[in-house]
Amino acid sequence: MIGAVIVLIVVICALFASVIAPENPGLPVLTATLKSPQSGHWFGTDELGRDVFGRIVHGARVSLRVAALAVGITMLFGVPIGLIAGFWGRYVDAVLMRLMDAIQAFPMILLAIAIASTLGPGITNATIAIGVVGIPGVARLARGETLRVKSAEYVTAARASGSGTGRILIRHILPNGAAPLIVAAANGGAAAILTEAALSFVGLGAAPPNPSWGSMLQQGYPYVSLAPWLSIFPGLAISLTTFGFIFLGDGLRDIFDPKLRNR
Amino acid sequence: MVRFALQRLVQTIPVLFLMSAIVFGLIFLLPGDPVLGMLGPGIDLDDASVQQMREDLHLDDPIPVQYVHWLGRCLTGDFGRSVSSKQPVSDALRKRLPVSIQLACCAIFVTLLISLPLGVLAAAKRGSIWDVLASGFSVIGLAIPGFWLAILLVLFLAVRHSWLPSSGYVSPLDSPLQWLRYMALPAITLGVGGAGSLTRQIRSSLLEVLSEDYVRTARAKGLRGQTVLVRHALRNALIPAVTVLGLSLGNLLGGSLIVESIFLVPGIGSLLVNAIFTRDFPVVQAGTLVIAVMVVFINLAVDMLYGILDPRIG
Amino acid sequence: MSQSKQPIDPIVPHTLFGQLTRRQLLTLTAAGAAALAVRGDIARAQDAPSRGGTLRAAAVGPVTSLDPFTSKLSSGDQLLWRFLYDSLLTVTSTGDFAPEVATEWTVSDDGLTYTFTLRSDVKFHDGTALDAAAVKFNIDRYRQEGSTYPTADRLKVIDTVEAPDATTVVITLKTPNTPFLFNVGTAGIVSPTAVDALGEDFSSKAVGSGPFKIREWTSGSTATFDRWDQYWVQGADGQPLPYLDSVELEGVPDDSVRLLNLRSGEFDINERISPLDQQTVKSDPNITLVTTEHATPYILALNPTKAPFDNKALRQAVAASIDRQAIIDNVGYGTGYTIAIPFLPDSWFYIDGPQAVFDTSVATAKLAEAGYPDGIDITFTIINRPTDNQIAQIIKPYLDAVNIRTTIQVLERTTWVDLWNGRNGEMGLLQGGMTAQDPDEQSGWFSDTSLANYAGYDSPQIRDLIAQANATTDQAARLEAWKQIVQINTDDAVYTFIGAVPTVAGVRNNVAGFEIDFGYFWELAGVSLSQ
Repeated sequence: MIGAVIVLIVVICALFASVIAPENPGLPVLTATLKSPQSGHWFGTDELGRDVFGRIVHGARVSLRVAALAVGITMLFGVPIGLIAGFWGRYVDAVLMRLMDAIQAFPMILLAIAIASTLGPGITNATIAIGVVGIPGVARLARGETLRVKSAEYVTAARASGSGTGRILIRHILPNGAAPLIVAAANGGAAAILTEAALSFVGLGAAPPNPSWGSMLQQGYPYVSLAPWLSIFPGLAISLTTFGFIFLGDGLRDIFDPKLRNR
Repeated sequence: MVRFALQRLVQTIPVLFLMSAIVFGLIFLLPGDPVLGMLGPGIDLDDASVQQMREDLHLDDPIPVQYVHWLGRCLTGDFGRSVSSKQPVSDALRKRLPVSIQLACCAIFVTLLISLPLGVLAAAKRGSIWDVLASGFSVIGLAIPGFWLAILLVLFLAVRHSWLPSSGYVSPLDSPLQWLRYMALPAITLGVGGAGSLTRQIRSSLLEVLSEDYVRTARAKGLRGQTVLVRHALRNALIPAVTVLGLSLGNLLGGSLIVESIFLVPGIGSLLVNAIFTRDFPVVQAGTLVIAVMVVFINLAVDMLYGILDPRIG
Repeated sequence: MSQSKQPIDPIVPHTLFGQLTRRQLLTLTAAGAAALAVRGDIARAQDAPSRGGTLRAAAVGPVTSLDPFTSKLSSGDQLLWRFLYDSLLTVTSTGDFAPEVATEWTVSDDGLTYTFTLRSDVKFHDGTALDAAAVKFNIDRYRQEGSTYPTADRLKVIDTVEAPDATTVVITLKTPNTPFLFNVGTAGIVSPTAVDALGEDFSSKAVGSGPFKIREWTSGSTATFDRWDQYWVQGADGQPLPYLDSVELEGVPDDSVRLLNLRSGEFDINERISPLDQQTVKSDPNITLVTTEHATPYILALNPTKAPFDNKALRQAVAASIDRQAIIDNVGYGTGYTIAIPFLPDSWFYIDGPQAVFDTSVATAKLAEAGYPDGIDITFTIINRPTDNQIAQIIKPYLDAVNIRTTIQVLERTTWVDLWNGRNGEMGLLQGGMTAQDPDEQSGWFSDTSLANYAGYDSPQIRDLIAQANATTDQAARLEAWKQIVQINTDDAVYTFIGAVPTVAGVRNNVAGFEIDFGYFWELAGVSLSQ
């Protein structure tokens, strides 16, 4: 459960950023630019003299917020679509799934960049873009689970006793199919972090001086030969956080797996 | 088998239509006049020749009609002209698509080079240090942002040591050796990312197969471990791996967007990125459509391959 | 001041334009001798140039069009005009005019009639002749109604263009205009036949008469040029120029990628090396730094056409709240300097003040005077470039500190330009260009027809002063007019010129004969590569 630990660390950074790194991460200190890592500035300073460590800690807030909201959007739309498609089947299923196929045919980054760029820069639009591109995957998963559970005994029983469709969906299918969705959420978090970093890297994410790990990489790249620490630490933060989410997802899957096997 | 193929083909058609509709519709997400998106800002909307252009492109018709006309033009290869350079989009596509395909092939080569040995090793020596290392490495491959890997590679291989060029492209027809040198960093960057998921897939499906009955039977018959591994297990385990490989091609094409931009590779990815940012919609539409269609057909091909390889299907 | 009708001696420096002030040498020949920017003269200044080879150059801005008519004026475009095209005149490295297609020219006493005598041996790449009719075609094309030529408004002063015979062009102006000679003289001349034949494709298959012709270019990739063996200028060895076989030009906006490739030898010439990198390059034995008569100014723009910045006191509050010296020190790494207006310190028309003064008490007072005692929230739109990002993030805390609460919005260049040309920006950051050629180069900021006036600054007073300055050839009078312009501009605070960073190019030592002229054009005709 290393994954859970890592994610927890990141969450703590995000929540208590102002305690861990009290200096304003956006304030330039023009006399202390491009200092290499040293005591007082564990990760060095950037081209405006800002402490990199502090910016990374504050950046956790941005990344987690985007990840949480984006996954939220994905779930909000993906799960109902999958449930409906799986439950009603036939034409509804065919239409919805073709639509999901169509969206999924676009490479995720391409679609995210296209949507975010068209909507305009900024973190809200980036979050929307990331959320939307994840919908097909979750929808497909929810549909699969719905199909699997649909024919189970308790569902047949519920139908026989006259329960309405909505009731069946919410009280029976959803809880029993939830396991893979939770795993998907964790993996979705990982993807969201990566995609947000990519969008920020090309200038579509958080506006300056908001410290986003991706935009830190973007702004640090011109100094790659002179101040490599600007390019190393934000990337490390992104990788570790994504790493944590993936392991979290793996761990959750292992927890749920035996339960699934036993059905 | 044929029936299966036809079925899948038929299923693909509505997907293609929907995709083209999405691509076409992107332009309407823009605030402002979509005509400007197609013809470019700074044009004089009252000008007679511009009016003619609007008519020719049916830009004043209702949206569904526009879509049909646009689709028709695309099918004949007329993707319009780039808003910024005024050159036909199909010219740019024709020049840049082969480059991206070359990059994708090199990246797949890198991916296979890494994943096959690692995945097999991890499964064969399950639980050992090799397994842990391989698994760890593959997760790293998944977690590292491609553009960060690109930056690191540039830092260590191009800046510090000048072993490999940090950007550019040479056609293999001009100089195969140079082509290889220029392809190296971008291909490695893309390849490592894909290697992550493929290694995991090879390992897990190999493990699954190794515990299957027929493998145990083979072992019981006294066949040596290695023969079992190679002859029976690997072949069967490769089937889902092929699927993953095929699916990762989609990611490859997507990842190429940023990698091509960083390494200045004149492929379709960097074309698209530039076009998206300069609001060059004819190029965005054409490029996105081409990539998406390629992904759809690759998936189709993978499905077919799956059907051929796996005796249980088709 | 009346002037007798005499031909202006092309080579002898004349008092019309350019006192000879101290300048740094711009050439790189092994002998280090100064050379005139007339292509033949640079070329002939080398003793035994080696022929052949491909020069690879990297510009900052991408190539957007080979045709000046449809160019978006990126640096990649401007550089290649001198490869593809000849013009009537060129400008030497000391700011004087030298003949090119025009062998001599005269101006009438009243300054309204310009007569150019052309060479008769110049051919376009398609074989057609460059004669007076072709010149007339070009000028008319650039100045037509609805022209997309980036500096079309500078040609609006033309009344008529006539080509009475094959080697004579007569242009009459509506009013006297001193910068006119530079504007019309350095415009690239394209082949009329090709324009008619190729239509829209001309921007990618351009045909000129210059030393290089286009081999291939698609948008977003390298532009490749081949030597044109029928060029009319001779080299030192008696054969036609250019010495090179081919040239490759690529736009690489990323400073560090451009530099990396210069150091590794992928590029032979790098248009611009950032101030921070210059220190590293100084110690590289393979590369020479070339100082140019060019700098990049950074400008803060406020939109005076709508609220809130139609309020002058508010604009002045903004101007007083930022420390421009600190900003330019940071992005210039010591090589930058503050400016009152984008004029190079080396130029005869340099004006150093009045500049906006950094004083937070003044800022607060002006805020109150403007009617915003509790401050105001504004949006700061910038273009997605590293330096702009950097400057904006330095500016924001200064503004926040006086209660001008700023939100930075990063846009792509096209979107930013559309926003500001549509007069919908609030506060914006932009870059410009400055050479030592003529003060009128900076008139775009104040013009009511130029797209370069992004903020929509409308000052009839300034426009009158500009017209005055352009109508006279008296340098002292022109300088006076511009001094008043600077005064009004600083007071109005629509454009606050923050500072400028000099442009330094980098060239590998195997390149000989490379010259950047006064108008910031590269002369490649006389360049040769040694191995």
